[in-house]
Amino acid sequence: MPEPLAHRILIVGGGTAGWMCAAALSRRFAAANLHITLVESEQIGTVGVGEATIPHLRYFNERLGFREPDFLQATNATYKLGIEFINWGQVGEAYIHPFGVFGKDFRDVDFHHLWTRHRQEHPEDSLFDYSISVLAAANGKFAYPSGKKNDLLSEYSYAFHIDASRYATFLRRHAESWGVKRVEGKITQVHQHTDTGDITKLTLDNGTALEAEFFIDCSGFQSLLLSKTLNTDFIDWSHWLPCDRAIAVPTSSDGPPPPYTKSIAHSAGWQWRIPLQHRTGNGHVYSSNYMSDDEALAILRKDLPGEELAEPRQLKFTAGRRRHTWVKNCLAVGLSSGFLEPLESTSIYLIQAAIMKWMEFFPRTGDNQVRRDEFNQQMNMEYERIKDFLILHYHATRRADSPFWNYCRTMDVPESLRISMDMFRKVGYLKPYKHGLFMVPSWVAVLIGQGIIPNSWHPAVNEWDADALRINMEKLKQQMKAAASQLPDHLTALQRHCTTTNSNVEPWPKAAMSLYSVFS
Amino acid sequence: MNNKNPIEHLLIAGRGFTPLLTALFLQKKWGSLAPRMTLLQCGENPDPPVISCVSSIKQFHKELGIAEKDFVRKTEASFHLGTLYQFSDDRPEFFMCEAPYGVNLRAIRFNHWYTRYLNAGQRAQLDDFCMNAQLAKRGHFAPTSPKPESVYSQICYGYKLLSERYSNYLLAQLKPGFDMLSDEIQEIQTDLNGIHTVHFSNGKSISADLYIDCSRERLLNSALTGTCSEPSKEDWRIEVTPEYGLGPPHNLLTLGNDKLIFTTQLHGKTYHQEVTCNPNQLPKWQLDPQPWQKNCVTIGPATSNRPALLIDPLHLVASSLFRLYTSWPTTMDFETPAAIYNESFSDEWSRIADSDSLHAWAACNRNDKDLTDAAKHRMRVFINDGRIPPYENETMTEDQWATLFFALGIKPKVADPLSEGSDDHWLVAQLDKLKETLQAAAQQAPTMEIFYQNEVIR
Repeated sequence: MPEPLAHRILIVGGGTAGWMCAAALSRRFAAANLHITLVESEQIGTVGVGEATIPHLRYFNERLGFREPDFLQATNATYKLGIEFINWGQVGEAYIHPFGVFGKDFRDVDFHHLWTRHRQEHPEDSLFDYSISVLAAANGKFAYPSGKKNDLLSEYSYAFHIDASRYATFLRRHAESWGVKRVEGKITQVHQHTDTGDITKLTLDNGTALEAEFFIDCSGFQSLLLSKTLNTDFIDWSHWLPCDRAIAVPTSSDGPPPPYTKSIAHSAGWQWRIPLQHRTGNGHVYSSNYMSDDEALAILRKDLPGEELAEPRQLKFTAGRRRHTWVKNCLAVGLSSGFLEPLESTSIYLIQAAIMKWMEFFPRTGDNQVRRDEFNQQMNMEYERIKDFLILHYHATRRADSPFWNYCRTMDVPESLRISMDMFRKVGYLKPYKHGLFMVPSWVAVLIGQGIIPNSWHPAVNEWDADALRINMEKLKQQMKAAASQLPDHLTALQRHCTTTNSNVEPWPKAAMSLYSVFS
Repeated sequence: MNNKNPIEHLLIAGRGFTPLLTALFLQKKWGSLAPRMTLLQCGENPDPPVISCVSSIKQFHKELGIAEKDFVRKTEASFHLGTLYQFSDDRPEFFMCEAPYGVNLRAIRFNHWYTRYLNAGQRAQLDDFCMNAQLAKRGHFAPTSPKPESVYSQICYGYKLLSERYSNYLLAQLKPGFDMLSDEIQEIQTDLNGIHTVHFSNGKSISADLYIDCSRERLLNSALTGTCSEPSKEDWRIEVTPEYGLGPPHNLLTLGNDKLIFTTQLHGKTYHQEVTCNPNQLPKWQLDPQPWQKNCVTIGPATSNRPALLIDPLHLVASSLFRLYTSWPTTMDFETPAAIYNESFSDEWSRIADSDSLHAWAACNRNDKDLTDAAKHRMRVFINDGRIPPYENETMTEDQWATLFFALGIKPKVADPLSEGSDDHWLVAQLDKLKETLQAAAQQAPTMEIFYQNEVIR
């Protein structure tokens, strides 16, 4: 008989990470009859990370059996087709990194080669005019991707802007109905086995002792179990990702919510703007080496879309990750395992990735070394690949208007990133990874969006003479423009999809673990 | 403005199907931008007498504009559903193929359900749940159905064919406009950019922009690397066996006694290829970890001396050609294209080496120290959790790795934890029903001989 699964699981911390774990475990392991307890304290606030998400969250929700209209309504969500980056490559420039592909590939050659050649004679042409998601986002449109393969309107995916605390509440309601036991209290002591070092139990401020076979640390930045108890060291990436502070403030909205996130670069960091149904999330991420807290707050306040709805809240962090995510009988999920700034909305994705992978390598009562090593290796790969992509945003800039941007532009980057940028610059090549989050279309968006244009292109695109190429590019652009313009307004689509009472609600597409498509 | 192919003249050296496939692929892929090509027939013919190829050849042929019916008729190719693994010890035989084994249930891969099925005391083999295996064991054949709801949609097949006929067929497909030379290379003049001129024994010489070496002896590449490969000795034994007619729709691989013996039957002959594996030093069949050097790329036999029947040589050539096309030079600076090509090639070959080492391991002493690190890693994770760790540039899918492990008698200790808790009776009933469905469908399909008569010859 196989070794039995670890049976008693204790989750430390509520918030998005804690309740995503609790809901996923209770739902997916319903038949295994696990005993899942979540301990949290109302006295400890949650960070509420990741109000902007990426399309993978749809897959997580689908696995848990949530109806998309219920989720939209519960979290006051809006749709998200990508992120607009303003002032990143240079002050005054902007582009949208879409959840979709660009143009149509030609003879197994990526579309950006075609565009690079076309651009030689038409320098005003924008790659972003060949993306349905960008055209829809920029015009405030939204519709579900069509289910027909090779249709222009099928080549994108979508995510959401959500109220993370409402998402936690939504998850909690379901998790508790699926058998999760919630315990209120603050942890005062963590007990470890004297020989193995495994965590054995936690003592709460009211004297209650909570025992378990396995512990999930969702305690946020304090990393109560993984770091403070098990002393797992931190790999510091702040020399590549120098922002270490954020100030967040919600405001009222100034109009219909756009179906995309805004990321506006400032002199020592950047500002987010995340539109929800009932408010707008705002924040300024900055480097304390280059900007004071007061200055950062002043910059944020200068550019808010509405009235402040709460006091600004400051977060301090260091970019990096814990060397291992699963140590002994403890798994860290979310901020307790590492922090990559919210530039590409990866926080909730990393929570989801940790949960989904961990469920594949679920601990058993015997020796877990092999599965622990494999899990850690796979999670490290996730972090490393996202890390390079985030550094790219800071490094691929021509900005020379502040010491912060001078540092970012001239800093040494990881070798893997340097090679990727060199190859793209020289011949337009990007390594087609199979594993990892950000694939070729995302790299193309950021590289070209921030002004790195390949010096040459795949010669296959020379088959068309310049005139034929111009005519075909123009035709494609017009087709995309026409297709995008037919889509309904974002708000109209949202109102239609949000209803839970209408039995004729438009069916939403199946989810896929992809940034660019709803097809698996 | 660059308005043409930077490679204007290409010299492709070697004999057999590899240079012809290379020329045909580049003609098709480049269309009006195809470089001028010179095919230099030199060295010995490295082709095995018979090729057995996997289903990816069909997509490749599509790229080349080759219609299946025409190809099968003219080359008299037969259909190939997989390979029956037999072991010299008392391990049960196993039918290994690319087709799916079972179906995923509740979004959990079938190999986990099969592990649970075994843990529930059931004895059916994994290949009992594979349509290809059921057909092959009966000597039956049916083409892949385009209807996803049909059990025949799971069928995945390649071909068995004679190399010489394939070469002749490819030659006939080539469009005019290339030069064909047959001469001995006398001298290769090099400079800082690589090969400058190839001089022949008849006093003529050729200078090209890019050189593709498909010769087993690496006749061009050796001028740059100084390493001339010794042609590997292929141990083929061919018997005349007219009683077997067309031959079965599969191959045979015998593993054990420090040997891998491949057997295939086609048109009244039986071909055996024997490879000895030294248990203390498992074979390394890759010749060149950096196949693109300066202005010379090695493809096929110049890159590897892998036994032809272990993994389809056509698949490897096709994969190299796609790679060459993807990393095609955009200017006459070859440094970046070579780096792209070599990195991707090296990744792919590392994965192939993992599979090779597993086969040799199973044929020898099953000592883990002989496995590549990645093969060891995969095996450890598979035994522990039934999972296949992710690697880039895999030639096999996750399911195919899992199947290979089962084929070699390596089983996971546990199934996907999400499958636990579901009822054993339900599971056994589901799997038994699936097995019966596949068996009945395989029984209904025609024999390979009848199918061939009706669909190919008629």
